[in-house]
Amino acid sequence: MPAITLRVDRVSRFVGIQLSTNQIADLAAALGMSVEEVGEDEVKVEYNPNRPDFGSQTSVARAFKGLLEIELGAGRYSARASRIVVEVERSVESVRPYIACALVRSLNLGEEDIADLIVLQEDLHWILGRDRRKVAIGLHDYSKVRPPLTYRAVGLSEIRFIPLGSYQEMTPRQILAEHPTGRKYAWILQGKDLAPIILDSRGGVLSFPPIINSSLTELRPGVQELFIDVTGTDEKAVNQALNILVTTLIDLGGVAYKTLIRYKGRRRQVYTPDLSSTKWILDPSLASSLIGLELSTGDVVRALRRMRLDAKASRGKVIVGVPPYRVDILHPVDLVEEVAIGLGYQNLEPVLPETVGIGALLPASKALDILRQFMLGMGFTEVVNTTLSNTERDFSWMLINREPGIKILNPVSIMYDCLRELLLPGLLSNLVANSKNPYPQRLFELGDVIVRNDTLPEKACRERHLAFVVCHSTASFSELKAVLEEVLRLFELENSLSARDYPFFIPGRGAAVVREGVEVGFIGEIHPSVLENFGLYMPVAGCEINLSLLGVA
Amino acid sequence: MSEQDREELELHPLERRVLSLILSEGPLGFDEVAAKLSVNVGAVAKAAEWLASKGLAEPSKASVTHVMTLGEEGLVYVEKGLPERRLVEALRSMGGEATLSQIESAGILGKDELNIGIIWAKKNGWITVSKSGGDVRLRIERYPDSKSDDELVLEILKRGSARLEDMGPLQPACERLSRRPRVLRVSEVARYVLTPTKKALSLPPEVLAEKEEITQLTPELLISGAWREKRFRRYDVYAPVKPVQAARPHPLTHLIQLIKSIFVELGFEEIQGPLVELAFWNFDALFQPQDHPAREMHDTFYLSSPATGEPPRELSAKVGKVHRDGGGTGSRGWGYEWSVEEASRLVLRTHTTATTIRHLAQSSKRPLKVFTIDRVYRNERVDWRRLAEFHQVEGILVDRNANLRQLMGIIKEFYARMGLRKVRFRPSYFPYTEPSAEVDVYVEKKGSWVELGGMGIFRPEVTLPLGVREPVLAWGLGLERLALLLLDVNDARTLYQNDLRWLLSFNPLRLERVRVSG
Repeated sequence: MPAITLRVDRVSRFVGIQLSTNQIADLAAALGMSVEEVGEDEVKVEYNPNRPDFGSQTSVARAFKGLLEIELGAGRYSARASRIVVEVERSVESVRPYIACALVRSLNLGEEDIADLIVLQEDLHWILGRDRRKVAIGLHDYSKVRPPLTYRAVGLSEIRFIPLGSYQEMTPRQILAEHPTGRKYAWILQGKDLAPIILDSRGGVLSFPPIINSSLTELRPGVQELFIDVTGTDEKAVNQALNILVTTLIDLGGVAYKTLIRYKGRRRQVYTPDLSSTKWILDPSLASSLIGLELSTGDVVRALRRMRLDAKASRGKVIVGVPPYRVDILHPVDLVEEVAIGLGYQNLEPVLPETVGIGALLPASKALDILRQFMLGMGFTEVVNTTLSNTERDFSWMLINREPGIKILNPVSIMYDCLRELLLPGLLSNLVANSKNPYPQRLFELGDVIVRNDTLPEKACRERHLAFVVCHSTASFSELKAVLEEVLRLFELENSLSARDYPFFIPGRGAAVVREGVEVGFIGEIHPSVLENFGLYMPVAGCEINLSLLGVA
Repeated sequence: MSEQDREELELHPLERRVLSLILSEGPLGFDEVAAKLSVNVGAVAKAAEWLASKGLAEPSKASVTHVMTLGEEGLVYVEKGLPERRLVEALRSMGGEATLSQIESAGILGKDELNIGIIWAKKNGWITVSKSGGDVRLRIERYPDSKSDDELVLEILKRGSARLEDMGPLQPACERLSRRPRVLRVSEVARYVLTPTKKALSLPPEVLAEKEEITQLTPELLISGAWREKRFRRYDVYAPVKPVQAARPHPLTHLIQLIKSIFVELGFEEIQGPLVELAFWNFDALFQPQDHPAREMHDTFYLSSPATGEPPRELSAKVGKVHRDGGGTGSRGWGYEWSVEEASRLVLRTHTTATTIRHLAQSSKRPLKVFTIDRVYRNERVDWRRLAEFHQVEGILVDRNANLRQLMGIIKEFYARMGLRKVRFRPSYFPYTEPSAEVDVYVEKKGSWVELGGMGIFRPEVTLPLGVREPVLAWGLGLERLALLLLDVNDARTLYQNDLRWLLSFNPLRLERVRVSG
């Protein structure tokens, strides 16, 4: 989850009253943020990715003002006309087709403001931009920019400019290969062989999205006119990011200006930013029924306005205006949640539903419980291992010469590259881990294994197994056979052993459990080579039964 | 003598033998008793203690003896000879006299040994010491031809311990040696004598009479009834015994059974679904857009073999439309081109909601109350807080009038039954629920709130394509976090390490107490 640090003095200044760290923590939690740390003069919180507008302290303060009833309803956000034109050439269509720009004037951004903006920019890159792939943002000192601007894609060696964080001119190819930021984001342009570039009327490069800005328009404290470009592959997300930035800057005292984006050869032009709000109609009865409280239109209107949404009652319904920075409202149910948060979750009294149901366990659960009691009764202690497993252990060490049925594509840890098909290897690992503990050791596991099954839509199914081992200096086949026979009596499956060799058992000391000609399990003394592979220097006898094949669980 | 006194005076056979002996022979040392009865002194001491507690005999300290053994230095001397002996031998080899520096440079004795040697050789009258120029001159006065008393004592002790009192004329040598640091180790050993009391003298003879006692009750004794004629030997009930440990269920299974029973009590039916799951059920059917960060490789395990499966065709088309433009659910959708290929990929399910949504798609039972407690996977590096495989406690309730407050009610009730009575709800976000909430429980011993799970009402984008029109209350709670709290474990990995010391220390009754008293 994205994180933000709320500074007491800064947030208090934006809210207009002095707040304590605890008040800030409570307000943040009431809005759905998760409070990570309450410090002396700051509060660290994480916010949910559906609210990218919480990426700046100004916008969080805006939301606080609603809950504190200092300001209700959506703020007024608008952009004036300007003569700035951005020509979009067709060459960008295959690389990064969309752009939205805005100019914000009358700013006086201090260091803290700029630091805030950079945090917001980075969070937007991540949340809306999917690490700049979908959306990338450039912030520029407008005094260095000479409109009109051109957005085009050029060959990777066709142009040179000084990127941020460098002192020499580089081509896009050089940036992607040598500049640290270029190397970090080169994957986004992989296979395109084109560099999207924003140029001004004198041919000066503003940026090379989504990689890096030019040093030409670098921001410095005291900057008064900010030019913003947002490019990307999803026009909606591009506009959302621009709106969040522009409204934040308006809250910081800026005046926004529109730019005309002209898509050459596509007969299409749009003005950005579009700061109009979106209209929704909410039926208060939907809010009442989902929340579980009788709410009047007035209640709903009040709660929504506390959430900084415009709301007014009209013929029993509520007309809602959603400001341009809110990107999370997709359906009236999203407004219902706004009502609930506006009312305060702490004010919603939990009640037990009267819905009747007949409780029941799965038959398999009951069978497993019985088997567990049985194994405990015979003095075996239960273990629980993961189904995530490792080919080397489950196959190589067990001397089983085949590939696992299910292989994992992208494990972060090499410990896991397949799913278990037997419980026995896990039990042997447990014995190794317990080799310093007293003997004899008797362990069992009742658990799932996962096997490939191409007849199912998901190509795999789980089967339930029971496995048990004994381990001590005289552990033997006959000792375990006695236990197995007792288990088999439970399944009414007497006299079902059939001598058979298994790679992991000592030859001549293994047997299959067979029912109606089908092997449903095996028992034997573990082969010393296997014990050696595991690093276990104590004799083991083991048994495993497929309960699903037996129809037990 | 009353019957009760007789009971109290029930004597252990050893007590009886010891007492009979001192009654007939008079006060005896423990060692003498031990020798006469052929038992060890420790057993006599024990019997003496029992007899004393019954007022039948009185142990008293009669004398003290000193037992000597060689100390660390003594062991060295036995090997190399006493320093004074080595000094005179050295002087002798140097012609009967030498200066200190000459002896030093000969290197036969260390500096400390030389000093000790000079002191004792002089005391013994073996050498004389005179100053000559800037040096000290040593000369043999009387060369000891035979072994000195001190050397004889070391000889004796080389063979083992000896009592000072047995040393006769060598006693002064022993005392001398014992004053030299670490040469001898002398320990005092008290000798006890056991004397019968007046009460013992007036004991009725039958108490002391040799009787056959029963150690182990046998079937033969029961059948013959012969036990009636005999006494049962009394046991030392405090004697240590070999420990026994009951085999136990794994604490996680125990906890899972407990939670299952709670949901069954609350009227929920258990369900179960696949661990290897189609991305379709794990993500798409839950309105999770295909470029959602949770679907990325570093969060979700994808399979390389088998890599893809077959999402349900008709439902896929509907879900695709919902992602694109809302598909008539009243939603605006995510506004992107949905790909059935992406939905066909196979994953290890990241949440048990994949199972409840599957169940919702196939069950037309209303109202519906189901739950599942099962494994889920996250492609994460494992540490003390995070596991790559863990369990979730998941459930849904489908009913015409279901609402958020009821959802809070179910969760509050569940945690109360787990002994966690203080809960709070915060707004939260999941792509598939709205409204959504997070539940925190207050943990008294930590003095803080702990986040334990998420919940919400399924979005219409999720339910309408399945043909479900009623609100669906859904929750997914972490099992391992709850387990850590209830079992007092800090490291999540402990739960899957299966260390027998940990497994066998699990106390299910204690867990019950925590659950009942909170």
